[in-house]
Amino acid sequence: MRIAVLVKEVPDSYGARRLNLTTGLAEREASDRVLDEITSRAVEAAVSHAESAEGVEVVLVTMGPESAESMLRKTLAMGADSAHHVLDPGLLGADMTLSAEVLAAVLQRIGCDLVISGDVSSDGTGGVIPTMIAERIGAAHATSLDSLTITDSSVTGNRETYGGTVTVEAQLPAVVSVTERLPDARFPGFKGIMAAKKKPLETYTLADLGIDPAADVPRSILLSVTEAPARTAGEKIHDEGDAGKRLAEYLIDKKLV
Amino acid sequence: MAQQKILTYLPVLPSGELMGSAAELLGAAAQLGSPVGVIVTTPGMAEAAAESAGELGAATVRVAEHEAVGTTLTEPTVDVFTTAWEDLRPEAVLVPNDIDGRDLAARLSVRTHSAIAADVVGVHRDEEGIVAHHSVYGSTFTTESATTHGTLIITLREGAVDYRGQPVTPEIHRVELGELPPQAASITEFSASVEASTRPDLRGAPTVVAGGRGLGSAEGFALAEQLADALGAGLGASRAAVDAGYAPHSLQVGQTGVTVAPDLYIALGISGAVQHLAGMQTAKTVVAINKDPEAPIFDIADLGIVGDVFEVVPQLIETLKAQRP
Amino acid sequence: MSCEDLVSALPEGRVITEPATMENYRWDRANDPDAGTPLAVVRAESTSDIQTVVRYAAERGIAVVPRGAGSGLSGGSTAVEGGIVLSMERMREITVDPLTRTAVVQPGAFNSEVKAAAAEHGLWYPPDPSSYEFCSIGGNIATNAGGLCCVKYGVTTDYVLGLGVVLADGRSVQLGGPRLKDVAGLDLTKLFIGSEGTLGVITEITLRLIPAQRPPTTLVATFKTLDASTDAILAISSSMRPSMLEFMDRPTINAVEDATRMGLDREAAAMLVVQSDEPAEFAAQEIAKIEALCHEHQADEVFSTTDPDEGEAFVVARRMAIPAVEQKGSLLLEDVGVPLPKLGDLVRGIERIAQQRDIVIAVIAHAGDGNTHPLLVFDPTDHEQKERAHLAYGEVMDLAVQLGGTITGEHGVGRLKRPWLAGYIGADALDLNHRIKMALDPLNVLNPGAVLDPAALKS
Repeated sequence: MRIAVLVKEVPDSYGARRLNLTTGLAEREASDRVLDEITSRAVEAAVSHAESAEGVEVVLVTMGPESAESMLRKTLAMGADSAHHVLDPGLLGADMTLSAEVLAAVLQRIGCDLVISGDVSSDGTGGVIPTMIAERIGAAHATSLDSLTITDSSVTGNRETYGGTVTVEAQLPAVVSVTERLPDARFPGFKGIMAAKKKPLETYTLADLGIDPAADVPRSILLSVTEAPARTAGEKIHDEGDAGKRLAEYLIDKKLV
Repeated sequence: MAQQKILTYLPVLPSGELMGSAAELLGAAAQLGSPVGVIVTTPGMAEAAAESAGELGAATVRVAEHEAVGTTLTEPTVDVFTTAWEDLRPEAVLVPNDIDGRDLAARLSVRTHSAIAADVVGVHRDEEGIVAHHSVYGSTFTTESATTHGTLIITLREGAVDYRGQPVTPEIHRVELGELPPQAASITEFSASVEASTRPDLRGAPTVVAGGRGLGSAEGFALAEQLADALGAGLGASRAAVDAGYAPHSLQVGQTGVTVAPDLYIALGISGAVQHLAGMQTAKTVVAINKDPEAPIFDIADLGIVGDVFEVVPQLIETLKAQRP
Repeated sequence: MSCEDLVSALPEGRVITEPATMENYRWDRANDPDAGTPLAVVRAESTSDIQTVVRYAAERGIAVVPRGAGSGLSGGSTAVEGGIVLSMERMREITVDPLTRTAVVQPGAFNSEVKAAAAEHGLWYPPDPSSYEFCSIGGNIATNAGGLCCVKYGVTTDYVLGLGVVLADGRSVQLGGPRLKDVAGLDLTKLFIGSEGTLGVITEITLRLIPAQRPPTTLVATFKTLDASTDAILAISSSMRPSMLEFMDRPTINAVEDATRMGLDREAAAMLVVQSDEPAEFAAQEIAKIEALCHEHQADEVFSTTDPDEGEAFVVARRMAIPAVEQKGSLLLEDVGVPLPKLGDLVRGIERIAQQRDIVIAVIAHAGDGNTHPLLVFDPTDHEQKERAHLAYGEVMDLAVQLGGTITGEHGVGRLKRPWLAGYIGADALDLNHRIKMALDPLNVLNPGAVLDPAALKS
């Protein structure tokens, strides 16, 4: 069984993150680049399954700039077997349609039984890529899972939805995404670190995958970027025994209650 | 020129009611064109929901009822939308930005070769078409996007749109489900949420009351619940309160929790770490009550009260009760 | 007592009297249960602010507790009842002079900020306490802080060329400066380093910088027995000077494994993390030699790498030690040191104390310099266990002294270790401490209760 995990390098959300106001692209210099935490949980889910079952291979898949290679090496050290990196200048500013097309193409080329992803990335916050891939590769999807059980032929998990929790089950091949309710990732061990540099890391261009980013298909385009004005402090009062009353008046006055 | 059709997904709760976000989805649709509501339920659930969709401004409602809706994930809804898309060639499709809405949007965009705009916080129309607004990096940037051509599929963040449609008597079209793909994931079990109460869901609530570490204990956190119930508000919590065991993880507002954009956000005993602010700073009005006058939350509060939450909040509840007997 | 005149004596916005805000300034990381409630907190922005505060306090006999970032581990900046907390958090300017390879730094700057400013000029400020990302350089001077690279590069005092100090009478003096050699008069600069805020308030520091460190070669080794590991440490440190030589015992290894699931050997009695920052070719030789020594001393597993990223991933096991043990309960963080040949005796003795007192003690050590950090773990809600932990805390210090060691290697005496000071340094050295304190701060205004017993100073 081969499990592909979608991993993503993102600007560290614990620091300042900036968009370039001209290009709308993330400013690389503004933040550290890290493995998106939610995707590290996806890796953990795959690797821990591989430890408990026979004949499970874990491959990492990403698209992104050259810097993603060091992220891939570090993630390989967690116990994945190989990594696949789509690296092409044509991907700069790719919309979700192109991203899903590229990832689906590389997944089809590698071949896999199960794809595991994080539910929503911390930078793009789209949360649609996993299911878009499922549609492209003709697989079932089971997204935003708070728990995950993998067997040779199926995946099962719980997801929070309208008014309750549902248990969903999909036959393989399937694409699943996981939430931060899944266990956090292990740290790479010494053996894993030493082994990582010898593991296969393959890179692909768009041409390798037969994808033309300039193809005339509907694309989402960016029209404008503005920096939101920082919220400023309003009125600040010290409670002198009547703050509850004053707050009530404020809320009534502003028609907020 | 006839108004462009805007296909709008209106999820139905297990109780048979429309999801709270239906009002703003139809409001956003009305801003852009002529809203066509789509309701997909198990048999016997759709009629009442379709009527309420009319009250929220859906002139037309497509209704599909089928057993498979309760047993098959996403595909029944995608099927209904794909047919509707082929029939109507809508200019936009609007769905809630929640886990089912995102799955629908994702499948539909690939199936109909349409561009997608996810986690949208507002929409408008300019001379070239529909423009989607996004709030990026914890609300520090806003961007606008559009599609080069074709339908734009939009997942709309809850609580983001104020505009509301005019009530109409809806024209209801019943549609049949086509054949579903065999590989679709199945729903094997459903358990209604144990947290189910009259309290509105945190994500779409117009008012949110959130409690933090300053409430001191799980017992102290009950104060936030009391205020939330007094205001008919959704209940949230800071990460510190969740980590300290005062509140369940599902209530966490912030970077690694829920992002909310209510009309009113009341923060009780929350100091205001950057990670928390990222999840709530698009709220229209922020009120903060904290003992520490230097708590960072005051830097973004429209009204800050330096004081003891255990004195201010009971007085607030009393005063409001007296005003509205 | 009100302090309106203090508020009016200082520029606006310096003084905090709001109780809820002052709560943030009562404790350092020692969480001293006896912390007092201060009269006021002052956030100084200049030497002149500091002089105003010290003069105000001296006139009225009010205590002044200087405070950097509040990351101290011995209670050196615990607030004193009715005193003034003098916070340096707003004084954090850093000016690097690449020509003299020095930096002039205000005390509130973080250690990591100093390192970063130096790095912009290809320079390095070596001292690296584990808290370097959130501790202030002023606090580092006050405690003469150490760190991981001290085994090769020395401690804070080895990089301090000059200090600006406000004395207890409010005068401001400049001691030393950007000169490597300076023997005019007594070495007063050194007197203030490690004085824990009891002799004067540091307002400005001139630091010596050295060329940037070369990327290290890293080795980790695990041992089945404690003896084998301490023998290996002795063999390494008697023949080489690695830039890092860190030790973790079995309880630490297990706590780190629980927290990281990185696959450490839970049965191992000890683990060493070693780095060499010699030029690549020599580093390879040095690490090869260390590897051979480890094998000679029955090392179980040895891994090494010349790749700095991989090396950093190795070192994570050591960096995670304190956070990992912290997940087991509240900590009393010890800081005892012994001459290297006694390291094994110390660790075994600590194991005995842990058994006798029925608590967990996890030991990490900057093994290359004999400085250890036994981490005493207790459940804060179990008062009886907490008491046993405090007893063990004292017993560990007694043991270290018996073995010819010190009660604190790099954290300082503060308020937590004060009862053990006399027993360690002896009556004559204590008397010298008292005389110097009385000469510089006769009213005991500066950080009273830290290091020295106020009652002893009065007599």
